[in-house]
Amino acid sequence: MTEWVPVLVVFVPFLAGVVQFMAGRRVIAWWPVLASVATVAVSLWLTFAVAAGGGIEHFMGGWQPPLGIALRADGLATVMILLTAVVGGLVSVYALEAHGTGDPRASHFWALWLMLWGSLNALFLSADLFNIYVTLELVTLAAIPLVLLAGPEKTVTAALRYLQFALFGSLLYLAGVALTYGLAGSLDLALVGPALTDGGITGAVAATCMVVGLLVKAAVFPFHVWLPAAHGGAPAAVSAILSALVVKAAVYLLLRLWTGPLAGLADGLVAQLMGALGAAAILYGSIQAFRQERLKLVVAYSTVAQLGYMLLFFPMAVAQAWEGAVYHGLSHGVAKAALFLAAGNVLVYLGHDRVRDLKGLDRSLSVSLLAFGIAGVSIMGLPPSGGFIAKWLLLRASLETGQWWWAVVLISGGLLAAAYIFRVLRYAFLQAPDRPPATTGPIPPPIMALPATLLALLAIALGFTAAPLLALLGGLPEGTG
Amino acid sequence: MILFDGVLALLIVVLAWRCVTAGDLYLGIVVFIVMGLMLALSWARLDAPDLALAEAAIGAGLLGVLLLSTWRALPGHRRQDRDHPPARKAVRWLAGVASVAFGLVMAALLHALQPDEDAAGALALGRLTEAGVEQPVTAVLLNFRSYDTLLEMGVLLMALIGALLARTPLAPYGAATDDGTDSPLIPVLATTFTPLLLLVGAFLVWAGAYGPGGAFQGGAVLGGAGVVLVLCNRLQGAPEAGILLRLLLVLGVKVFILAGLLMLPLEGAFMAYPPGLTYPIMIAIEFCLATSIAVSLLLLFTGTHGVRVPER
Repeated sequence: MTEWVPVLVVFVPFLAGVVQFMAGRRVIAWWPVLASVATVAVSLWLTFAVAAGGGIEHFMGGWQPPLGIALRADGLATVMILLTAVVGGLVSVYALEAHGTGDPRASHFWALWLMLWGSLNALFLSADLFNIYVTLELVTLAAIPLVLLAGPEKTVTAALRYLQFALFGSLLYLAGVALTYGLAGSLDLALVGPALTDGGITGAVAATCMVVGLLVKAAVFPFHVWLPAAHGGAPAAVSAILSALVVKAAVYLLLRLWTGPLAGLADGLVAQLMGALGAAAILYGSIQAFRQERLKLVVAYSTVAQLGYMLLFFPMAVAQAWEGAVYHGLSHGVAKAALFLAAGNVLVYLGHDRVRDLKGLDRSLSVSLLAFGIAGVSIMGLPPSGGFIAKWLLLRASLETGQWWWAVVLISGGLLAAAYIFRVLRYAFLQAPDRPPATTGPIPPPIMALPATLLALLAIALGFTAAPLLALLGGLPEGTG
Repeated sequence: MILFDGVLALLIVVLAWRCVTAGDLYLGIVVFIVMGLMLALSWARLDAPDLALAEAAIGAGLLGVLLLSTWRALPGHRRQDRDHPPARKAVRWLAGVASVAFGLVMAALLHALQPDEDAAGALALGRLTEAGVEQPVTAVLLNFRSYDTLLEMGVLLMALIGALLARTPLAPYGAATDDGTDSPLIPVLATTFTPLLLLVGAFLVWAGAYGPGGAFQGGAVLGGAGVVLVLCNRLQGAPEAGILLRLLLVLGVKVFILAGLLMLPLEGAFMAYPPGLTYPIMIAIEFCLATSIAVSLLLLFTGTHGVRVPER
C-alpha cells in the first residue's frame, strides 16, 4: 500500500478539483471540505510513511526510467508536501468563508486551487526533467487564473505579465531539458548527472538554461518584476498560496537540481553569483517593502526578499546551509501565508490597505493584527521562531565556510525586515485614531481570522520542532559541495 | 530538395520577422498563421508527420482562429495599438539580438550532438510490442509517458478556465455578428463540411494507434467542426454550461485518472495496463481525450462557458 501513497498525494486533490469543476456551484458547501481533508490526510500518510521507512519510489505505468517516469518521495520532497498540506489546509479553512457560497466564482476558485494542490505535489515528487516541465506549466497555469479571480479588470495586466515571465522561464528550462536529453538520452534526475558533467559546453549551456529558467519562475531578483503586482493584486487566499508555495516550488527545483544532476557542474564562481543574486534580492526586496504604501505590496516585496535567503545555500553548500535554506522555506511558507491572510482581513474590513490609514484597527481586528505581529517575528528571524532557526543555521554555515559576507547580508536582512514589519505595526497600534476608521466591510469572522493566527503560531512553533523535521529532510545529498 | 528546404527555412525566418514587426495587429495575425503552415511543412520534411499534423491543426488552424476572434472582439481603438505601451528601441534591439544569439547557440549545440544508441527513445522503439500500439508517438504519449499526457490535459482545462476569466472584460463589447450568415453558401458549407470534419477527426484519433494521428490532432479537427458550426450560426456561445457539456470537458482527464487509479490495486502501478487489454483501453482513453480537447478548443473559440443551439 505504501508505494501507492505518492500517486494518491497527486491525484486525490487533482481529481477533486476536476470533480469540483464538473459539479459546479451546487457542491460548494461540502465538496471542498471533503477534498481538503482527504488531501491533508494522504499528505500526512506520506509524511509518516517516509519518516518511518525512508524514501518511496513509484514507477508510473510500471515502466522504469529511462523509459518511464518515476515519482520519488525523499526527505526534501516530503517536507515540501507537508508544508503544502499545512499551509494549504489552513488557507482552505480561510477560503471556505472567503470563497464560500457567497462568492459567484467560488467553483472556479476551488477547482483551480485543488488542481494546483495536486500539481504542486506532483512537482515535488517528480524525478523526471520533462515531467517537471509539465508540472511547472500546471502550477503556473493554475496560479494565473487564480490571480484573475480578484476581478479580471483589475488584475488582467498583472496576470498577463506573470504569464509572459512564466512562459519565458518555462521555454528556457525546456531548452535546457532538450539539450540534456540529447546528451544523456534520458530524463531521469538520477541518470542524467554524469552526461551533464562530461557534456562540456553543451552540458554547461543546458544547466544554465534550466537554472535561469527556474530563477525567472522563482521571481529571483532581477526577475522579480512580475511578482508584486500579481501577488499583491490577487485575493488574499490566493496571495498566500502563491507566495508561500508556488514561487517556492521553483526554488525547490533549483535546490533539487543543484544537489542532484547538476552537482558535478557546480562551480565556485557560479555559486557565488547565485548567492549574490540572493543577497541582492534580500536587500532590494526589503527596502522596497519598507517603501510601499499598500499593505499587500509590503508583504509581496517581503516575499522577493525572503526568497533570497534560500539562494544563500548555493555558495556555502554545506550541511548546515542545506538545512538552513530548506528550513527557511518552511518557516517563510507558514509565516508569509499568515501575513497575507491577515492583510486580506484588513482589506475586507477597511475596503483599502493603505498603510498610513491603518490607525485604530487594534480593537476591531485584534486577532488578525496579532497574527501579523507573530508571523512578523519569524520573518525578522527573532527567537524563538522557525525563521530564527533557519537564519541561525545559515549564519553558522557562513562562519564555518569562512564566507563572512553572507553573515553581513543575513543580519542586515533581518534588520530591514524588522523595519518594514514594525512600520506597519506602528501605524496600526501606536497611533490613536482621531475618529473611528471608515470601514466598508464587516469584521472578518473567526473562521477567517483564526487560520492566520494558527499559521503565525506554527511559524513560532517551528522554532521548537527543528529536530524531527531536519531528521525527515535528511542530510545534504551526496556529491554536492 | 535542399533548395526547397533552404527556401522553407528562410521563409519561416522572414515570416517570423514580419510577424513581430508588422505595423498592424491584423497583418501580424495573418502572417502568424502562414508561418504556422510553413512550420507544419518543415515538420513534414523532418519526417515528423505527427508534429506536422498537430502544428497545422492547432498551431496554424485553431490558434489562428483564436487570435482572429480575439481581434474581432477588441473594441475598435484597441485594434490599432500594436504595443501597449510601445517598448523602447534599445529594449527591442536587445531582445532581437539576444534571441538570435540564443537561437544560433542552441542550433549549433543541438547540431553537434550525437544520437545516443541507448537513449530512452531508442529503448521505446525496441519495446513497442509491449506498448500495445504500433505507432511510437502514441506508445510514448499513452503508455510509456502517459502520466505527462494526463497532466497536459489538466493544463488544457486550467488554460480554458483562465482564458474564460481573462475574456470577461471584453464581454460588454459582445461578439461581433457575422455579416453574410444569410449567404446561400452557408447551409451548404455547414451541411457538407461538418460531417466530413467529424469523420476526419474521428479517423485521426483512431489512426493514432498505427500511423500519424492521435487524440490531439483528431481533437483539434473535431473542435474545428464545432468552430464551423459556430461560424455558420448553427451553434452559439452561452453564458452558462450545462452539466453534460462540463462532463464532456472533463471526460478525458477523468477517465484517464480513474483508469490509472484502478490499475493500482490490479497491476500494482498507476496506469500499468493489464496485458491483453492495453489496446482497447488506450483507444477508449484516446477518444475520451479527443472529445475533451475538441470541446475545450470550441469553448476557447466562443470565449463563453457554454454553447447552445440558437433558437429559430
